[in-house]
Amino acid sequence: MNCQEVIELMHRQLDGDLDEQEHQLLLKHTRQCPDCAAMFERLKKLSSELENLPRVMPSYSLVDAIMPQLEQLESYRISEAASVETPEAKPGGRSAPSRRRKPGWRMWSGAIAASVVAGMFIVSYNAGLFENGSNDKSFSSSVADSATADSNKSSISREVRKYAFDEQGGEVNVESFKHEAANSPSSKELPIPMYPQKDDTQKIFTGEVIDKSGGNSSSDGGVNGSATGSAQEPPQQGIAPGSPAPLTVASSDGVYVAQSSGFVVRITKADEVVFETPRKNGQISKLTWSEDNNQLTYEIQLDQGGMERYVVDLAQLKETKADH
Amino acid sequence: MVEPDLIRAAQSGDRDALITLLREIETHVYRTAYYILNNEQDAMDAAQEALIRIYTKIGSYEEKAQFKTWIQRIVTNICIDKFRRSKPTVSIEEHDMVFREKQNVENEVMSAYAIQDIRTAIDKLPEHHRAVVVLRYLQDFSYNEIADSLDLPLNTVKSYLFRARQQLQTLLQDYQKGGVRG
Repeated sequence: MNCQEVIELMHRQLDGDLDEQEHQLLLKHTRQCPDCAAMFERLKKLSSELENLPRVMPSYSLVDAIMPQLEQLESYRISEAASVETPEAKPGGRSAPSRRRKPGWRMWSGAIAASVVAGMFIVSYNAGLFENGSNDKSFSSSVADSATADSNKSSISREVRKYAFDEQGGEVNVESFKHEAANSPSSKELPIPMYPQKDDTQKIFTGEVIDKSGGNSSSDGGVNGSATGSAQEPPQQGIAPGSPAPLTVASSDGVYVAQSSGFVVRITKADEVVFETPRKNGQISKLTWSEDNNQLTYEIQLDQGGMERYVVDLAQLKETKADH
Repeated sequence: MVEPDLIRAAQSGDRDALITLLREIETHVYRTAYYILNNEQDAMDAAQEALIRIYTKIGSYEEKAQFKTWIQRIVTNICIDKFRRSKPTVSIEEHDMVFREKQNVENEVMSAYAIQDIRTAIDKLPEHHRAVVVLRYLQDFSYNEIADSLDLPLNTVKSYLFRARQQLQTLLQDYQKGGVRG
């Protein structure tokens, strides 16, 4: 048995994968071969170090942080289910009071159909074809493709909807676009939800879109630009609700920086973490360096009320709980 | 270990069960991301993305696979695909294992490696080798479980794990000798 084969046995031994006979082979070889014996020692040591790597935990609850996104997904799922039950949504149903934050299927088909019609209008408007082009079915289906593919830009759909319903007098044919909308890739991925607008915005034509698109040769840029102010901001990712704002305090000699991050305090020197406190059960405040910059004091406003004070000793890299 | 009943409830549309399930697994998801990406913020982002994907895809989980390997497949895929960084890793295939090791055999005092050194060394491994090491040591997965999670043949898993350990051992020894750190 050569050393290469023995090294494989060593690795399998580390993973508990050797039978007794193989184990004996390994031992026999390492007794005679100091190189392999040394290698085996190093690998065993490495393996135990790897086993002892810190079992890190997220500094705040990730599920809490994504809850807003999950709620949006949920409302989308519900609306999708509803569309299966009532496939024959009539365009007239749109004026019924809509549930806030729970856009129904009608919302989607209506919005997409409207954006198609409006997109068509803008295209033809810019091309000078609007007068007689708007009822051409084959034309509208090609616009439908581009519009649904682009439905990430919900602001466009939102804005042009106002226009479309007014101009078409509510005669938008929702049914013809339903299939494409249901199969559009964007509806399968995480959707950008379409928030219901106030009912009156569907009926009142403000003239905003015409002004913008008329004054701008690029319909996309024009409409998009006009709509950004009213678009809903997407929820901030990665910030837990109620998560305390980070505090950063540098030592007076500028060597160390203490920063609270979630529920821990980190001390860094030249961007390298030199000390990290255990996770605390409350909001971190009052990061204070001692005059000689050898100690950092901070306070925890406990979630269940009360306050704790901790002192980090930089010489010993140790944290102790201080008296109040 | 997530209870099968909880998984079934989550799959049948019980949203509370699904949220409970996500809470139970979030630490495992995060830990894998943390050690593959070697960066807390990237790990937070990747773990959140993985949890959202698990939320939306829970219906596609089939009981013939282990739930924990199904989860780890999702998070490792996200880490490897989405956050693949263009930084150089050591080319593991080029080393002749035995030859290289004989050069390094010295009877030196073995002190404990610093955790930071180990993390830096792991970070130098190619992505799949890194993922194998993380699943083996941070999730305590067997060869077969790693193979299921990463969709790799069993022999490839072993070969990646052995080579990764060999490489880590060399890197850490270099660090200890005061070699150049990167």
